[in-house]
Amino acid sequence: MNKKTLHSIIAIAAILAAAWILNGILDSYVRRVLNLCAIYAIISLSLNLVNGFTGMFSLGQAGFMAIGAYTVAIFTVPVELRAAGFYLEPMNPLIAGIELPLLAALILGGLLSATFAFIIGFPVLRLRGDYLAIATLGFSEIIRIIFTNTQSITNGALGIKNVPALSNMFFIYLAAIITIVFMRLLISSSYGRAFKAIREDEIVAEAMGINLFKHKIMSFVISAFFAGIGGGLYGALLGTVDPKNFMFTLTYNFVLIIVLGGLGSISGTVIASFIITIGMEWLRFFDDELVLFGFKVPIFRPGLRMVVFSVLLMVIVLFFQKGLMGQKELSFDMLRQAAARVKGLPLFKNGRRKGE
Amino acid sequence: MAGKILRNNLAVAVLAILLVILLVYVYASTAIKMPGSVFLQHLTNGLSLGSLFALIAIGYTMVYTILSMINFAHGDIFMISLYFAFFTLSVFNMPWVLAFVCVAALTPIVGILIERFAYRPLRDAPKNSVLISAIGASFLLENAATYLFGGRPKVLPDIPLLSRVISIHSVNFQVVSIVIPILTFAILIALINFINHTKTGIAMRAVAKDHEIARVMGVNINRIISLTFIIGSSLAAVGGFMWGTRYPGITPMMGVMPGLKCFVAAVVGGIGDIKGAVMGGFILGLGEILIVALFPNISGYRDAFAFILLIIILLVKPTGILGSKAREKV
Amino acid sequence: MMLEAENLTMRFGGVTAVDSLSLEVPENEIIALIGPNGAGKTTVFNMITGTYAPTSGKITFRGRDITARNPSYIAKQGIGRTFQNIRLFKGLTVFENVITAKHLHLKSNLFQAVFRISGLSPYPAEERKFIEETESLLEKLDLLDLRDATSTSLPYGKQRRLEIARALATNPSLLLLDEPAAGMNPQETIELARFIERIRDEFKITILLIEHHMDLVMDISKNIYVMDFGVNIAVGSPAEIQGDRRVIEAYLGSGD
Repeated sequence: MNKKTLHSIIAIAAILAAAWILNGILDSYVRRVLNLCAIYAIISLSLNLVNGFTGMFSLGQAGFMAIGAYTVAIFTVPVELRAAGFYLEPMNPLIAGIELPLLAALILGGLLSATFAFIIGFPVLRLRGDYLAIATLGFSEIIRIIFTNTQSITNGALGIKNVPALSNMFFIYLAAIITIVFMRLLISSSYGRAFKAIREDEIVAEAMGINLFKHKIMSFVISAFFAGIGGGLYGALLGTVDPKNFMFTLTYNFVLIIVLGGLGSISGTVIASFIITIGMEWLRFFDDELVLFGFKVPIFRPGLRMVVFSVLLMVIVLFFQKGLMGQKELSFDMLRQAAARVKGLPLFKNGRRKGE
Repeated sequence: MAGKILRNNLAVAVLAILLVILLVYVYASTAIKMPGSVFLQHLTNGLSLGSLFALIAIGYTMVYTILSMINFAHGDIFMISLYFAFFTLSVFNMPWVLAFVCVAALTPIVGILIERFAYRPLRDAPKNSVLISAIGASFLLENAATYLFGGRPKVLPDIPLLSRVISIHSVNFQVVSIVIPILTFAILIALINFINHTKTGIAMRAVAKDHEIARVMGVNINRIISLTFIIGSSLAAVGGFMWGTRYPGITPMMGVMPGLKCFVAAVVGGIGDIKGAVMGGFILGLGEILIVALFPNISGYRDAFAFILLIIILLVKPTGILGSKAREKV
Repeated sequence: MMLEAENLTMRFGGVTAVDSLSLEVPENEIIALIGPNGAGKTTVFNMITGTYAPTSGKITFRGRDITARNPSYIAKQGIGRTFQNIRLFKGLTVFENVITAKHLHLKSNLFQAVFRISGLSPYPAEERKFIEETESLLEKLDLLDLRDATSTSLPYGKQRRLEIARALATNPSLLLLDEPAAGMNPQETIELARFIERIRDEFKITILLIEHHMDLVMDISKNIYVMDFGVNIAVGSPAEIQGDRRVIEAYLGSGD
């Protein structure tokens, strides 16, 4: 085992231990926000695989999330609580009696989402650029429209309540870390290189023997799988799932995250997930009335937060096109160099070696 | 003569649409025994919705030809035009003709601002950046409208002259549903003449072909692009105003669906072709209304129609009904 | 015969870019395709590599019909190419550019590549082999010292060389070079001629090249095909082509 792998394993163990401990200490609000950060990281990574690494432009994440979230909601609500929710039309008897543990429902949701991606991938992935964006966005809306109309399965516009709430930080952070490690290993493999080749130049990639369609569909299906898992976790975190949660504007959150983090950077995506999610929570004060020196500041009222959010997206794309990380990854070397720069000790690295 | 018509894409497409309408009529009158007057009513509704789609779709297609980008914010410009209509009519109590002129004059300013601040700085940037900026602009307009005007629907006052119902042979029409298609065709003819026969129109086509060459020929690119946004936005405003007289509730998110559908209309007709955009608008409007009328039990899937049509057209003829072939240079 | 094309025709709308061209590339030789700008040479390359599907005609590669097949399939059969206006993977390093072209030889599936535990997955061994081959290729082409440089930071000549290295990484038996000497001075062109002969012998490949530098073409080609307005106007050895009246007219314009 080389040193890098060892470092990574230590870091992962530390994060999981921290999640385990913090789970018992933090109050439910902070825990919820931190959980949301990890879930957003999973979904943003899935979007970055397609948009940042493979160079396509998909806007379908909200739809894939909906598939995952509904799978979790449908199968984890305790059987005896279902009739109360499905009062307009009873639940379809085929599924009314099936109850799954969360983990099984999550994986099923991921697989269903991946299957759906595989099916729509055939027509959709032949499209380029903004056509692909519109088509994936269209499918994401179609999923939502279907879920609004399949009353006996999804309870339509009423949504599904009483989803057993998930708030265990250890579980959610474990899922996030599995996603990060998977993406890292995928991107650093020959398949990852093929994806990047497609991003850089499709015609050349093809001339080098990389089957465009096969690799695009791989990337798209894997992305949908993780978006489904992330959606399932999101549904479980919310405790209720209804079609309005999965408007395509939800996808914009993840677009902002991957643009801020850097299209084509895993670590950038993770960092940006935390910045954006916590930032959005912090920005909530914009929506409250602000009283300064006895005067009510008139611009602070509901809705301002989202205005700030969209201005932020514009500013990043207009002025910081590379985002935080560009296509680079955060590494231990980079941290060490940054630390050295902060401490003003250019030979920090050597100093450390002396101590070893 | 017949051979000549069959070689013309437009003529064939129009004939095909008429044929489909005829078949639908036969189906409606035999299978579900729909009276002719009711069918005619649906047809008028479909035509007027189609005309509204067409007006918005023209804006998409024009921007796409000039800048090769989807102006994601176009649907939201349409939404803003409805708020302008609300303020001029309800708050300032203007007579509707004056309000109409104001809306058509104010809305393009929003279009120009978006082009100037969200698109122009990225003209040489990668396509994905432009796309993200367009999404951002769209999202900004929606959020700004929510913040400024609130999320609750505003209701546009009634314009008696336009909303009056007249009946001919037990078929009831709102005046506006006759006015809209006529207006749309008038605008279409004027626009085609403008593009084909005026110096500015020719400059516009030159910019669409190649920015560099147009620049060398002495065309002011930025001016042409601004003009494209002005035309697109004012058509969206006309569409918005008429939309408001038919469907009076205004919300900040109301531009999203019509916006997406009209982009689909532009693609279906053949992006880059104004006639195609209008045809796509009609196909979408008629299709949506007739599907709901004929199959009420799937009416919940109404909004999915456009996207399914999009996927089908992209598979069968990616360049759209009237589109010509394009090829990437290797 | 390594490659045979029969009556290849390519029409774009009303324009005939290539008009019933027939071409034979024997094994282990260097064959040149020349002609004025716009004669349709690159279109021929694009048809051979599958980027364009010919309007009519047939392409046979080592006895197998490859007409209008998917470009990635054709690359796997053993045809590598470079591009007229250098097309490197811009964001990637020299090493990454070349090793990416090894992907078509990969046998491990995606899961074996991700969960690459030595002993359980064949991937680590494959990856090691790719790295070794890539490094040895870079060494042979004198690029090893630039291993981790961003591809676009290389000087022009090195970029051309990197593009050839990337094409060689697919282990082609036929290499198509599209104007490899473009932008080079006479000295560099002479070096390139030796380089092309060297890679032919060292990698035991056949080469079909498009070129405007006549010295280079006359120097290394076994046979020359001359195209003008999509039509093949002459075929022959360098000596024959040099004396061909039609060729001179095509290049200089007829004097009448």
